[in-house]
Amino acid sequence: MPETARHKLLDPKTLNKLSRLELKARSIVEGFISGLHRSPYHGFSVEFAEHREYVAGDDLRYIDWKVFGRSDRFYIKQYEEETNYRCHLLLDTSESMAYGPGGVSKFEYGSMVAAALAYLISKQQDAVGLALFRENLVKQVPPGSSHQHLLQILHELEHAKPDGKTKLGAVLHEVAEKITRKGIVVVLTDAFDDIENVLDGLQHLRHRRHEVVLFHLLDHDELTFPFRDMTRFEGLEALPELLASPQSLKKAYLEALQDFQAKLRKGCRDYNVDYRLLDTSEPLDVALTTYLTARSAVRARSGTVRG
Amino acid sequence: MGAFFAAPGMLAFAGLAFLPIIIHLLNRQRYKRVRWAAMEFLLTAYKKTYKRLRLENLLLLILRTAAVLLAALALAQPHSAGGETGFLKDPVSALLLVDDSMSMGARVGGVTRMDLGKAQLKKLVERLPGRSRITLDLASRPAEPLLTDASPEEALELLAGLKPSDLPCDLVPALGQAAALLRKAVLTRREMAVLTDLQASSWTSRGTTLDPELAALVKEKVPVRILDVGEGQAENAALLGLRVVSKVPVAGRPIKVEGRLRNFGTGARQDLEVQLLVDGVARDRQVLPRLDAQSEATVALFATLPEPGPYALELKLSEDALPLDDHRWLGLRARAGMEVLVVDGDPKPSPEDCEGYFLSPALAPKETRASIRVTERSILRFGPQEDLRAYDAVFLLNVSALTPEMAERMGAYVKEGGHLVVSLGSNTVAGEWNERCFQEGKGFLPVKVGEVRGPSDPAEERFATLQVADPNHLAAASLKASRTVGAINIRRFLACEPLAAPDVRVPWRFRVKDQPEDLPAVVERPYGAGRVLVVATALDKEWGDLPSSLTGEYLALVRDLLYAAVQGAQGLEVAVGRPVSLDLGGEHAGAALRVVAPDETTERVAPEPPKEGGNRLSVTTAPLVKAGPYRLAKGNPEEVLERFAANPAAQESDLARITPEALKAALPDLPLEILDASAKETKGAGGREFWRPLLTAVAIILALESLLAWRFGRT
Repeated sequence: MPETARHKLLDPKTLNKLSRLELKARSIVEGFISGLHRSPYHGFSVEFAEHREYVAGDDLRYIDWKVFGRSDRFYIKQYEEETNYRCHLLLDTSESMAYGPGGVSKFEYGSMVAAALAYLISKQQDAVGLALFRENLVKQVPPGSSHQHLLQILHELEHAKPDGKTKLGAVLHEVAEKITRKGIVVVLTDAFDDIENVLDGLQHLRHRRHEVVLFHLLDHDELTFPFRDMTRFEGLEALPELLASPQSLKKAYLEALQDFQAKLRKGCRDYNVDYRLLDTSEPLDVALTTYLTARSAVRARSGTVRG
Repeated sequence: MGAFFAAPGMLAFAGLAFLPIIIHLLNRQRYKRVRWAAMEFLLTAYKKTYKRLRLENLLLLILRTAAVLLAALALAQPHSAGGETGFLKDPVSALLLVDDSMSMGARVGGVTRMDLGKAQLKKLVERLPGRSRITLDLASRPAEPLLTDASPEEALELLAGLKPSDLPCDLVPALGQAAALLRKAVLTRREMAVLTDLQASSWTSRGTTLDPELAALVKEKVPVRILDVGEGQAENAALLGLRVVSKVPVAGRPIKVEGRLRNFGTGARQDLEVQLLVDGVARDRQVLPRLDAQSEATVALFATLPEPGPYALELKLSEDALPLDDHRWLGLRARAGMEVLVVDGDPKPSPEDCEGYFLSPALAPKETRASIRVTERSILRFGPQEDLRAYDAVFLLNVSALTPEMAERMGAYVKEGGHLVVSLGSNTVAGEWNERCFQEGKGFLPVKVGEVRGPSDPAEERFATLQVADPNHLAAASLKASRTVGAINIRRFLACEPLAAPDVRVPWRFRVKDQPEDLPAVVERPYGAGRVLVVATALDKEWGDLPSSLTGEYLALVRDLLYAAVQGAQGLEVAVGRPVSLDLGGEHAGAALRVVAPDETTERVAPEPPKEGGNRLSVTTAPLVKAGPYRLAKGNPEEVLERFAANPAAQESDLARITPEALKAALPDLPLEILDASAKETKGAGGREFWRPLLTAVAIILALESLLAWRFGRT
């Protein structure tokens, strides 16, 4: 697939035009996969289960040459699911996630990332669960690997609305306490909470031996603060408003944001949390790549080498 | 002087100083709304920068307000009213000398130099320190200041109505007289300002030697500032002269006038129209296709004066930058005709032997009979019954002598304006002429008649010839360039000794063979209101060949003699600024006479009583300060007795300037500060202006504001 077409497939604005989240998720994953040299679907199980027809990107090592000899067609050998893996997707649905004047809000972007990940994980026969949170967990779908389970996750994502305040730190503690079986915890949030609380929560998760990936979702405006004219900034999540000349505040604002990011990044590094900043104006494949990298790391640590 | 600002009205713009504040407040009302997620960071940033932002905003607001205030201040043109000593300090005695010569009326860009200068002077006066005193003097009449030690308010009022005069000015002498006035000023701190167009002729016409008063002023280190308003090219063509070419202007017959014009400009002028107006009515016009720069031309025009009497003639040129010299006026009296009495002192039975046989037709050829009428009279019938006042001129030909009574009457006739031509001859009795008519210089005859001069050999035909001695005299007007008149032989003449008086002129002389000096042939002298010419030989063929010359010299000479006798009957004009003397008949004695000026203002004049032995009156007017046609009149309805005119001085038409450098070089002892009118900053007794540094400050403030706004992130 040409590079431009792939980019278009992963462009958040383009994807946002698709009506169903399932469709979005599939487009993201297919677009993402088409750019990979190796199929992300193969080699995660050990017991042979069935054959499936070869698709572009599949590792040639898994072609069943015997079947080819008999039928003159390429088939890939598939194996039984290894259900050791569980991925928990935590999506922030607080009001601050609703920001997105350019077209795609952080929440929408986060939803698409979550859906795509769920789709990908489900396709890999791993179990994926979903938790939506604000000040605490508001909706939870326990991990599962069936297609029905995937559809339930997508349904929840599709019907969620950003609202209310956030307490990310508390939520992370709550999640750490609830999830007993170790797995990958993917947090999709703008992390607008007290930095110490957030880092404590992340540390708690790591303490529970979870692999943690923090997708820090920020709008392009939040990263660049492009305003010029006199503006009344109305705070989301019940924060006060401020009338100011943006030009005069820009430098100090960006300093404050970068300071926050630096602290968050440092904390993540200290606690071995995979931190990834996601600019909502950028394509979505970054999130998937990050996830796959994290998963590979987990497998490497657990001693299971596949493919 | 209380005024600290040249344009105080502009201070109203200072109200705009509130504009930045209003804009600031309005901007706070006009804003966008953004629902913002990362509010914590924004609030952190705001808390962190709040004090600095307020300070920055305040600084920018102060700079913007200051820029508006200073700009308004600059527009109001503030100045230090006290010059070197500052506002509200020492008052000054300022002398303003205004060059009000005609050239100040030249228009450049639709504005006269005088108007331009008045604006400069107004600024200067307004900037004087409080309690200053002003003396206002005109260069055309420097001895009569318009104001002396007056308040600036009075000076401003007078300045507003100031107009260029029609008079020429001599600036250097005027400076001296102005200096004398300033030295008498009440205040010790003094300054002089001269408003001028630096016209070269006004500054150099009478030399550049400093008057002692001016030199003393220079010693006292009193500053003399020249406000130069003469910059800018003013093209000018002017009429420099108007004269009547026709010798005797006679009513009902065309007269010829000649106008002399000059282009003083730097470029050629095309299609210059010259009009001749008689009493304000156009009678003739000529178009001069081209007049090159710095060159002159003459145009001839014609008009017929319908009735005898005084007329005002005017030549009018297409108007240009200096309108006044595009006109030239002349007063002219049209005669009904010229009555000439010819008295034959040696009547003979045969007409061709009569003295007037040649003269009368020469005076009045057939084609001029309408204008000159000759009456011939034998000496035998020339007696007390003769009314001499009926004649414009009397020719006495070869009259032996006048009786004492006739001599007295003849003297009175001439004194009252009569014109007499005496032709001596073989009958002349020198002793009696000398005794009764010369009277040792007291009589009307301008010569003492001597003995007859002629060749020793009576048979010798060639003895003397006529030579022009005064080519500018009217009696030589026609023949001064003649090559043949010197060949006409004169066989006899009477040696005459002209009266030693400055008004005696000798236009013709006899050149006698082998004689070192030429002897008087024609002698002329004004006498009273009239004039007497003596021709020292006969005007018939008895003593010479004059009448028999075939080339018309005789006719020309006789006519010239007549015109020389009646001269003064031509146009009447003077240079502006000079008075006019007019002769009037005795019948106007006791009448209330008035002179009516071109602007219709009138001035009563009293006639001087008749001089001894006559009954004619004379009137002398005041100096004619306005150029244009004047009239002497009496009664109501008005009866015009005489018309005359005053014309501007030709040198005023030449707008050539003396450069500031040349002026400084010509007046090395006078430290001059020359300021041109285009200079935005007029220094003066009032001191320095501040608008320029203020505007610089505004520019610096705006630049600083831009820099800070950029630095503070407000761009």
